[in-house]
Amino acid sequence: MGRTPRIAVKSAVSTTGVAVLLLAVLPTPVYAYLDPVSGSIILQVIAAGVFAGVMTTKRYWAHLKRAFGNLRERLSR
Amino acid sequence: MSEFHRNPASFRDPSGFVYRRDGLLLRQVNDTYRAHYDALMESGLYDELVSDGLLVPHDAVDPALAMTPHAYQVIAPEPVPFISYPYEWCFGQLKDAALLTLGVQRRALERGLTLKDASAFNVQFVEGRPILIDTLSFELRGEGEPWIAYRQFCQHFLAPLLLMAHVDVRLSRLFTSFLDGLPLDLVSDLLPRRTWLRLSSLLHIHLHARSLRRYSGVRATEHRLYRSVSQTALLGLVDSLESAVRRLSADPGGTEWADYERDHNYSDAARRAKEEQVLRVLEAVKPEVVWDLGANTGAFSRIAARAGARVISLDGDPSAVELNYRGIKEEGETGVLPLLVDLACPTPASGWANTERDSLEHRGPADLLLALALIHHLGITHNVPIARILEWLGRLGRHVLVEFVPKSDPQAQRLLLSREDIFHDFTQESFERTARDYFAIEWQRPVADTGRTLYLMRSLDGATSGWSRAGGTEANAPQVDAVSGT
Repeated sequence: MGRTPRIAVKSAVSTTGVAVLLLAVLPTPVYAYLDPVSGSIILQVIAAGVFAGVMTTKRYWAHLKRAFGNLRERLSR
Repeated sequence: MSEFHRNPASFRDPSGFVYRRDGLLLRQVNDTYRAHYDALMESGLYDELVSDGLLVPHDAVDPALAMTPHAYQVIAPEPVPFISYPYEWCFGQLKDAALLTLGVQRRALERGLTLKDASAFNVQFVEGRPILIDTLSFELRGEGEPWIAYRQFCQHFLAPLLLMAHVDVRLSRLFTSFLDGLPLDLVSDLLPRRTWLRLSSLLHIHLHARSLRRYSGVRATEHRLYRSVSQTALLGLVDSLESAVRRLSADPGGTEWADYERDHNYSDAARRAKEEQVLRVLEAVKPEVVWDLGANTGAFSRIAARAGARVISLDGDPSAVELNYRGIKEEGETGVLPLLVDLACPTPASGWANTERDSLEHRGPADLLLALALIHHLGITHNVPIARILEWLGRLGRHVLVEFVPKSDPQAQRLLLSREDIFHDFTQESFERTARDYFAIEWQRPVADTGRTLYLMRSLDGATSGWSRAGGTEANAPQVDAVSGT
């Protein structure tokens, strides 16, 4: 049980990893001297969903842990 | 008529620039930056960052002190005592600077702002800790906008840290050539294949490099997903970078590292005697700034710091500098700044027109140089004639405490093990004679139990070196009359 969210995060992350990997095998035209940041921005917007997902899971997990902690504390009193 | 000096490194950002007006360090905030500056100040972000020691504090001063038209405000930032550069930092320092940058970005995001720059040159070490010095790095984040400085962060921090951790710690030197950080395609090529298997390096370096190449002709703002990046996603990106950085280490390993803890050359008694003599010199010279040249892990730097000096602790060995930095962090020592500098080839001036980043010498001179057991390394290992070494020391410091190590010393003998002794001039007699061309020898003592000698010398170049630049005069120059005893 304790490992589930972690695994979820990891698998989400690796799935996107694979998706983004596709980016790597796409043909790579080279335009030197043009906007050097575009690729950085596009990578971010593609991966944004995963980052948001991971963050939300982390928050949810922290919230859950806190709730369980409180419950355990109350029961032990 | 006021005298203005624009900082030669402050010209890229249209938001403002740093200059000196009649010696006072100021930063002009331009009209174009008004909304962002107000947001920084009014959102509570500035107060939070300053009170936590993450951002350099400033005072607002009279806007009439502006250097050019279209100024919105003029601020007086607290001056940083010594500017150092990322290529002079050890692994631990670069890592801490990276974590500082990410921590600041997280707090900025939480208040609706973002860092538009993530340059390692915007971080300086003050009292042992990294601090962001670019007050104008913040801007209001447009709805759904990605992090514009993501690439810069990867080039300035993550890429060199990965190379140092996975390939060789000496690769930090690449930074001296690539002042805007290491090109990601180069780093991707240099990193071992196993880094493709780790998500953080796969995404932030390997795919990032390919994406940069693939989309270099594309207008990113026209991408259909542009402006779709949520705050949560950017916090996730910061989290991902932070865990990638935290995981990295370049640990001193093997016996060679452990040996730094011991000093082979001295008996305990000799070492204590030498420490006592150094302390006596410090008490007499009362230097504000000490440069410890060839500081190793910084034992004598700490003695100087405890005597009240601000110490720049320089060594060319990444392992020694790393241990020095870890030591000062653990001890909470705020007076020592360890830096990685090859003294046989000190940091050159570089950047645009070679004026953007200062050479080591330009950041001097020190009130006192410690050159303890250094000269034989420069003289024998690097074949630098004694006269040249002394001439350089004379420019670098107003006073210098030299420990002369004769060729008969076991350490010097080690340097001569597999080479012909061509150093006929490397004698104490020749050292003293040459020293008088550049210095007044004020005091000399043998180091007990060794064949070594300590010399305290005053540079004759003092008038032309930075002492006068710094506003000092002979009258307030450190005096050494008080050095006495054995």
